[in-house]
Amino acid sequence: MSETRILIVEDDTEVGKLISMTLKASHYAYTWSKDGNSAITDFKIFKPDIVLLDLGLPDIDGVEVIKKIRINKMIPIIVISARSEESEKIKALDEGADDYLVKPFSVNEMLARIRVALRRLKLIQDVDEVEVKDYQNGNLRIDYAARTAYLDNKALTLTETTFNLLCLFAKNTAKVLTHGYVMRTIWKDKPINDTVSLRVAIASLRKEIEPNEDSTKYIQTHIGVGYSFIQH
Amino acid sequence: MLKDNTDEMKNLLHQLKVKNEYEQKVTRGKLKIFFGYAAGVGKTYAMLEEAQELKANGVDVIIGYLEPHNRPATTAMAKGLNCLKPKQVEYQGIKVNEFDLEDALKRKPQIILVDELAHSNIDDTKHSKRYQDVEELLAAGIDVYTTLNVQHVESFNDLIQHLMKVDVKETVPDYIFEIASEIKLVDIEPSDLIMRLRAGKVYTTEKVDFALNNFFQNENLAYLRDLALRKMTMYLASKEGATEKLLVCISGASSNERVIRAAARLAKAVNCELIGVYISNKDSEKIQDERLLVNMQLAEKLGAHITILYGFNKGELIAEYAKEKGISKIVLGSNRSNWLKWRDSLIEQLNQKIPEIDKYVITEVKAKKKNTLKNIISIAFRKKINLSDSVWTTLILFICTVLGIGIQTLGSNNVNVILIYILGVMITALVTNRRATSLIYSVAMLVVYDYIFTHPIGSLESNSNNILTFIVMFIVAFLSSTWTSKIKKQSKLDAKRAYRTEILLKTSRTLQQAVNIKDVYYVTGNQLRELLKCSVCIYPEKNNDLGIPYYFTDNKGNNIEDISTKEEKAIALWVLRNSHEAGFGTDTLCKASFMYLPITTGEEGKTASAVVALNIKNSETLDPFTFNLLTSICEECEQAVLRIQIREKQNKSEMIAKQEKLRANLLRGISHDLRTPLTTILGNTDILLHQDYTLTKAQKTELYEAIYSDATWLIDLVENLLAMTKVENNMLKVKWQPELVEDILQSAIMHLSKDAENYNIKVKIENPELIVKTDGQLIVQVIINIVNNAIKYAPKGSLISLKATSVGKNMCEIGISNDGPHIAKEVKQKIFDLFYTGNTEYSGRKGMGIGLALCKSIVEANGGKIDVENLNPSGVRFYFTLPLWRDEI
Repeated sequence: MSETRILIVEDDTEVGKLISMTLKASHYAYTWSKDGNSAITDFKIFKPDIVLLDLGLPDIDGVEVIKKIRINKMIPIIVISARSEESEKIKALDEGADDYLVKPFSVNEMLARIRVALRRLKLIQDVDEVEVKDYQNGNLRIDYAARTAYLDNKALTLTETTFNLLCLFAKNTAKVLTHGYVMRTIWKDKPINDTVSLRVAIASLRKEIEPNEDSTKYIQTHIGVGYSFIQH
Repeated sequence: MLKDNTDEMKNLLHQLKVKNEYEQKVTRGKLKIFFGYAAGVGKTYAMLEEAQELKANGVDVIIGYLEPHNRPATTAMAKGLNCLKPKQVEYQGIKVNEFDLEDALKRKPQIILVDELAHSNIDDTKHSKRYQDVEELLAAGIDVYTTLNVQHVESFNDLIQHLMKVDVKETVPDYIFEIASEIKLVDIEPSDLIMRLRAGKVYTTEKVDFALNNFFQNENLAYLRDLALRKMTMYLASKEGATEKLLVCISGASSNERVIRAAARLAKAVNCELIGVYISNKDSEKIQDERLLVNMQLAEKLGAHITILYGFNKGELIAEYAKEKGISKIVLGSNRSNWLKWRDSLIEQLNQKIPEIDKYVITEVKAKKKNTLKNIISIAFRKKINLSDSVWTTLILFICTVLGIGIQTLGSNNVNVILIYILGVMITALVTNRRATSLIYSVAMLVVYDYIFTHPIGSLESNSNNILTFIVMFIVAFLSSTWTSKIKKQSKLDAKRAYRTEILLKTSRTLQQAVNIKDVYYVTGNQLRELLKCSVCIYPEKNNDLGIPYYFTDNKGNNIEDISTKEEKAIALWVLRNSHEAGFGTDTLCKASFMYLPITTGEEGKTASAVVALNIKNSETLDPFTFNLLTSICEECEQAVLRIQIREKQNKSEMIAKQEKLRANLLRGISHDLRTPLTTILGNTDILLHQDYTLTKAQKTELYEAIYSDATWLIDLVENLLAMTKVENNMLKVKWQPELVEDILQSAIMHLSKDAENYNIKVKIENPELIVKTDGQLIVQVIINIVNNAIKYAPKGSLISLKATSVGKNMCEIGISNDGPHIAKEVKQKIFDLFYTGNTEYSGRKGMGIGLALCKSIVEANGGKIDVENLNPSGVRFYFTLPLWRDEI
């Protein structure tokens, strides 16, 4: 497999240095753009596998950068945001970013996110090769054709909505889905801020796929942002 | 960042203040009156001249309306000025031009010229008088220039009528002078005016001769000029502001009008506040005397505040009232020809009771007496004796006679019979309502007595000796009946006064208890409905517009829907914006079906804070007594609203002060406590950079770890500070979200400090479907703080357990217990205080005492409670509650 290529978009020199040093130590190939416009150019030339994008850029809005590079690429984008850019972060995720890091973050955390993103990239490519196939994640298996999910080979009792929710998660494994996105996809007829139905569905889905305290966790909560499905 | 916030806040406050001042200056337009003593002195010309000058300076000035007098010089002066198109109104088949108020309001120029302030509108659908139009223009923030002749001033009306024998119908109330910000006196010599008139500059030649022979006589003009100059002097004097109060007694006599006008002039001349007092001894609730109503309206128009006192003893009532209100001058009328001369005794009474107050007596010229007889007859007819009264009278007379016969057959003296009859007259006075019945009884009694009890019995003829008895009997009977009915009336008046006092007391008591403005309107609405027995609707003000109304329908279910028609709403809005009453029963827009009263709390010219709509058209018409009560209740309501507004303002400023203090404390604490970790980070990196070669690997690792832990400490601190600002900012406008308790706990555990790996952290949730109503991120911060705290104190490897249970129907409790040392009682009390850092074993490094204080404010902002308890045999448990999510539909 060829070396993974990562595009860093970060205007702060010190943070940029830290990220690039870390990536170099972990043997990733990288390019560092210091503003939004050069990031868009670098994206075309460098053709990265993953983009690390800081949202607070000096020239254009980070969300604009996502819109530009997202048009027909499925490349994972991890946004880096400061605490005060909460709403920006959600906007970025809605626009197609996969994951986020909040400053200050540890480099280990960053590397872990990159690994998750790579796995997701591989998954997408696999799906591209073979059309619709059963979904397998740890002990969880979804039979799309039979509209049934299995945990440890035992069929789960899921309602229509919960099953749809599970499928949505499965399709977007390792990607952070905002509350708004989930609401728009599953509860088309409900107002977007009526998240109670979502909470109830999450609780009942969790009861099925994480029956015990010690069972493998699949659903990860991002308080105030949304949910993501963990790849095992 | 915190400092920035403070500065921002200050800036904002400043801006708000400036804006407020600006708005206050802008709201009301200025009124300038060009004031003259007769037509043709050049008022309109002077006004136009000034307008031209302003226009040349680039001011947006337009002509709203000019009277078409066809004076060439004036017409020339108006050239070049923009002119509003007059609206055409049909009047008795003739098309008449009128000032178009709506158009002027729409156009909204800086200054508008409106000629002839005293004009009466032909189309009185909105206002009947032009000065009311002008007032509305002023309220809309438009400056108005207008002209006025002295004979149209209300307080001079009678003088002019009396001395010049002309009846001036169009008058302007005197308060117009008070609201005018500038008055320009346009004056020329009367002889010059007559010359101008002769030259045809004022009227067309046909009219000139007539004018010269009538109105424009030299002495007339001199007199008018004198009045104009006097008014101007008064105006200038009144600019200093009223300090004294003048009381004028109002009566129903036609001659009283003169007294009122004299009082008003005196009040203006010596710069007094005018108070009109009417003393009512009527027991019927309505004041039917039209003359009295006219006099009252006149007094009001002249700027008097009217009060009605109830009772018989006028002297005492006036003296008491004057003392209470701090009156310094009293004006009363005196009727010399009154044979009872009670008025003069009234002055003596007042002289005795309140010698310190100046009294002015105006001799009331007796009005033409020819209607006296007619009056008496009409009064007698009006007070037709009704059936029940006559039945009572006959019955009592009959019983008395039977008793008298009984007593006489028992051999008693005739004196006893007389006494029984007199007792009868008293009872008659008590049970009937008219004095006439007592009178009739007295006469009938004499006849019956004469017929039955005196010799010759059975005949009306009588011994001449008995005549004295008859006369005395009649006088005693009549006087006692008069006194009885007087006492009865007084007690009725007292009851009425008590009723009034009770309603007002009840209103003010309930208003005192009102905690918010909504309560105030609710109480007011209910009281008014009770009082007037009609539907009431109250519109609160909202963004300078009508808010959602409160309805108070009467039990008859009268059509309150009528109020939501477009026209009625427009009137309500007008009242709100102009702070002036309107609608049914008032001078403005009187064709409406409701009466609208503003509740004003701010300064003059500001929008009212509510509008009260009363459906009195369907109930009985308002008499002055009820109207007085109605305004009193509205005033109470105003006071209450004002009180609440002030309190809210105070609370707000108190809260701001509190937050400011908190910020100051925080800044102080932070700047002190940030230094410690920063010093070590700086020092450690310094050593690593410059003395790398002298350090062993173990030493280096130690330094790295120290830097790492200090940086982590800083991050924790920053997180808490951020959360704190968020709580503070959110306090007032939180939007709570439903959150799964499981989500919150899971999120918190993911963000624990690095040391958490060394502990056994267990989570137990009673019901995975527990949904709380909270700000998720802030609550996560609470849990992180408590668990990190536990990690600091509990021995390594011990159990930290998180448990969520529902408590009661509405709450969820989250408990976090650890195996750490017990917390001492005195520490427990302060543990949630800001900057409390426990026993300071290694002060400054344990934390700043922000963490738990933050937890407390977050939990409380979420509507929960937080506390801590010691566990047996060892361990500590922190627990807090959060409200469960309920579907709020």
